[in-house]
Amino acid sequence: MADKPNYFDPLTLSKLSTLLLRARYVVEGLISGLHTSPYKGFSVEFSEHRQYAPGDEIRHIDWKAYAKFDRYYIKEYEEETNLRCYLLVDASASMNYRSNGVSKFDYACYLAAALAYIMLNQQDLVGLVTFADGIRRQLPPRSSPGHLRAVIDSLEQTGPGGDTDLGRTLHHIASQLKRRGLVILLSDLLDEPTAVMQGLRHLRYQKHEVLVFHLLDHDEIAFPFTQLTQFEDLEDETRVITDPRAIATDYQEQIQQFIGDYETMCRRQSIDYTLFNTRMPLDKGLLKYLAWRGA
Amino acid sequence: MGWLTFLNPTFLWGAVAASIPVIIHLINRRRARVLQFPTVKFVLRSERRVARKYRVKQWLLLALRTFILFLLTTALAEPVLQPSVGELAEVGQARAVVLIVDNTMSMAYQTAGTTSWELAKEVSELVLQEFRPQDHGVLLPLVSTDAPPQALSGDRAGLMQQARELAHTFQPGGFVLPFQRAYALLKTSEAPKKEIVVITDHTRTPWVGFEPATLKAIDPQVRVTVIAVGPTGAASNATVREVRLDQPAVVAGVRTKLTASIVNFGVVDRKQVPVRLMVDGKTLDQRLLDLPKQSATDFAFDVSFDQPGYREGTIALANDSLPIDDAFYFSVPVKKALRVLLIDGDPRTMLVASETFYLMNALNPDRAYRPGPIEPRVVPVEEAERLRLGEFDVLILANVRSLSANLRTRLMDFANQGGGLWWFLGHQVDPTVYNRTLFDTPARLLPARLGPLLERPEAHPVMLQRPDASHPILKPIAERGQDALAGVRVRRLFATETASLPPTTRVLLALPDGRPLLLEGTAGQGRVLLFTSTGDVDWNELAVTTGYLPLIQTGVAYLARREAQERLATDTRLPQPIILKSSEQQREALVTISDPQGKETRLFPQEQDGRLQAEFPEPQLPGFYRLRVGPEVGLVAVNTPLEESDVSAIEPDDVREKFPGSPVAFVEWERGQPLRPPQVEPMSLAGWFLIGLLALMLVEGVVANRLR
Repeated sequence: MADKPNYFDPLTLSKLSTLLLRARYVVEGLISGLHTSPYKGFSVEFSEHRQYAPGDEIRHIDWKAYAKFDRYYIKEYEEETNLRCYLLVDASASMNYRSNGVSKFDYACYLAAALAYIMLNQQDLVGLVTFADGIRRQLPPRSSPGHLRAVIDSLEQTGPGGDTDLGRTLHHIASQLKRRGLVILLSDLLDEPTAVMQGLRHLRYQKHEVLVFHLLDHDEIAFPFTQLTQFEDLEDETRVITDPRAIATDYQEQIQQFIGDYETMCRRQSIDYTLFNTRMPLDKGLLKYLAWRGA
Repeated sequence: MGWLTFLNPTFLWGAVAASIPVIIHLINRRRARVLQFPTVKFVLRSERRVARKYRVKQWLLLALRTFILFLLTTALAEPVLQPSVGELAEVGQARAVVLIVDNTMSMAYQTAGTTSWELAKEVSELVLQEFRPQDHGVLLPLVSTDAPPQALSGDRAGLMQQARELAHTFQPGGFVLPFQRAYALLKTSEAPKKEIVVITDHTRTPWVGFEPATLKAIDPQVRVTVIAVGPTGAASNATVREVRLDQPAVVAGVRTKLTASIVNFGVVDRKQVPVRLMVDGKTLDQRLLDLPKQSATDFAFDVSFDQPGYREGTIALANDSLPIDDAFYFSVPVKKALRVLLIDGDPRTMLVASETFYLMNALNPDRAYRPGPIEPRVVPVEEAERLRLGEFDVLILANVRSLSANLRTRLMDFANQGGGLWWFLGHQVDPTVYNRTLFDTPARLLPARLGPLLERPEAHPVMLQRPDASHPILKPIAERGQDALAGVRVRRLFATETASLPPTTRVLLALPDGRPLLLEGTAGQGRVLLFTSTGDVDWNELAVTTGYLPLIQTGVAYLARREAQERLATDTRLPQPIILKSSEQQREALVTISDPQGKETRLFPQEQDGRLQAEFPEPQLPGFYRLRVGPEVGLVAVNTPLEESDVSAIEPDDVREKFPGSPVAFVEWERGQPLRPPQVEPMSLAGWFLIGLLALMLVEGVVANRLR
């Protein structure tokens, strides 16, 4: 009997026909694995009782409990508000790199679609911004069931291309987002880190919660090349012929430094930073979101 | 410095493998793949920081691997370091070297299309190339017309130029004189090392006469190195030693026997060798001859020269390894006819009664129909006084009573110029007068003193004995029949004093009692025959026998002025000079000689031993030289020196024996070989190459490991 396909595997997902299908498989697979309902607490729900203390509003006194216990108890509710989430998907040319059939942009789309699927099912509002050197497509946050279709269409119609100007784009987005919410940035962050961080700091300044999903291809991290190669930049005319074996160690040190720097800087800004290797299963990203949501 | 050679040079082809790493590198470089990559800025930064150092290491690795392969293949080829001539001569010490180069004719010997001379030039350049700034030397060719050098020179370039300009010659040469000069020159040098280097072939000829006792100048401190080029033991060569004509004078239209003596100096028999006889460039006869090894063989040709004058004759052998001596040149002065003057001492109105009737008929039996090869003319004694005797080849004097002093003097002059005299006696001859005027004088014209007249009764004549057929005169008679003269009856003859015969006199025909009938002697440069009876039938019956005609004709031919005496110059061999004889009348005449290439030289006759002669001292080429003395023209043939045709080899030990006490090296050099036998053993480098190979592999391993 054939094993059930692992729908968290990006390569397996890439074989599915539509992004909607992919998002559904990912999310439902994840949910069934958790054995708990993510729908719990979606509405205004009772949380606990406590004794009345002066200053408490009288309307919150549980009169039934007073009748039973002859004491004043305050009935506390866990108040759930609808989340407003902005998915920022980097569609610059550098996101188009793929080493195993799934480009970083594909990976970002899978993640974004899956997150949107979850959020919309939770009645949260989901907005989408795709960008490169500027904003390419933008969908305002909505929570209608049909909005998922719009998000997925928008992702599918966006192709990677153009230079990255992440810092400026984040500033631009930050200035556009009027209401605070959750901002999830899906990008390879291949821009000047200082500028990027300033953009993220702007978002934080606007009281947004920010999740950074840093997407890198396996090749970008491991640099596994052995043959003399002419490397050509995806976004500009830079090219260099080199023996990869000669520079592999130095390169790896640089990329680790690059990642480490982002991690550190994000931590300082209370930004949740997660590195994604495009060969990693997608559930890591979703769990990260759910963990945040749970928190 | 020595030079590197390889015992198994075939493996050197493997050195091509050394290019494999380079080729792989170039192929890889050309096949660099192109990759669109996002993080090129990191790649670029790493490239700038790391790759330059890495590239240097890569090149180092490439060089190491290339060199490893090169070392491997060269080690398999077994490299050896040969010592150089400079090392052999002890590096650092100045040397004085005399280079003696054999440029004699035998150096033209060809082996595999290359002459020994070409090899000798190569060797001489190699020797001179090893000259160092502190060395001095001199070049002495074996044959040279230039003045010998007086001092050693340090000008290596000049010596090399001399070596390049050195010319091969057709001359013979010996080592005695060059070695004497070499030792004398080295004596003037203060160099600690002295050496005589001889470049020659293996032939024995130049060493003939080279004996330590006669040379006397041998210095045992001087090292002698003989570098022999060309064939070693099995050299082969044949040449014509001489050409002889049976007749002293060659007459146009008369068949003449020409004998060529051909020598095969080689060590193997040669079969069916084509030999051509050519006259004036036309082939008259061709034979296939067998030439036994190391011996001479005579071959006769019957030849008829159609035209009078000087004819160019050539005996040409099929080319062998020394083609330079395969043609032998000879000149032949061909007479229109033999001119014979018969001086009749008893002329009669009836020819048949004359003393010379039978002689005349014997000399030219067809005179009524056509002129023969002998032109006889009969004159009385008085007329002979007025004739120029030099126009005749032979004088026959028959029954002459007496000769005037003037005529005797002119006869002697005639004899001195090679003319022949034939005396026939008769009743007018007075032995006393003859002896006094013709025998007992310094200018002797008779071969024997005459004795008294011997008479035999008519009924009892003396019967002539069977003649000795070995003499040229009698040989044709013997060939026609041994008894042609036997039985001839002689009734009267003059006795001759056999006891007091001059040493040059020989009895050709004699009676049974030993009394001579025909004697041969000499007078001046000519020959003299004396028939002690009459030339007609008065005293004997010889004139009516079948042997008479051949006897008279061959006798006249035998007496005729020999061509050598008539010539302006005789044929010769190099390096003998050509000597032109000149008469007093030609003292003021223009004398010239033209060599085979047409180069004309004027000569100036000088008095030599009472004769006027001109000498052309230095013929350089074999072939025909044309002579001109006033209106008279001549031809002389010059051939290559016979001794140079002898290519028999000398043994190295024989050479060493010629230098007692001296260090002698005998090198048999071939192309591609070192000049001398290595006194220092060649050093094998294969082990060092393998050690170097291992060391390089170790280094390569370290470098390659660091690159990972």
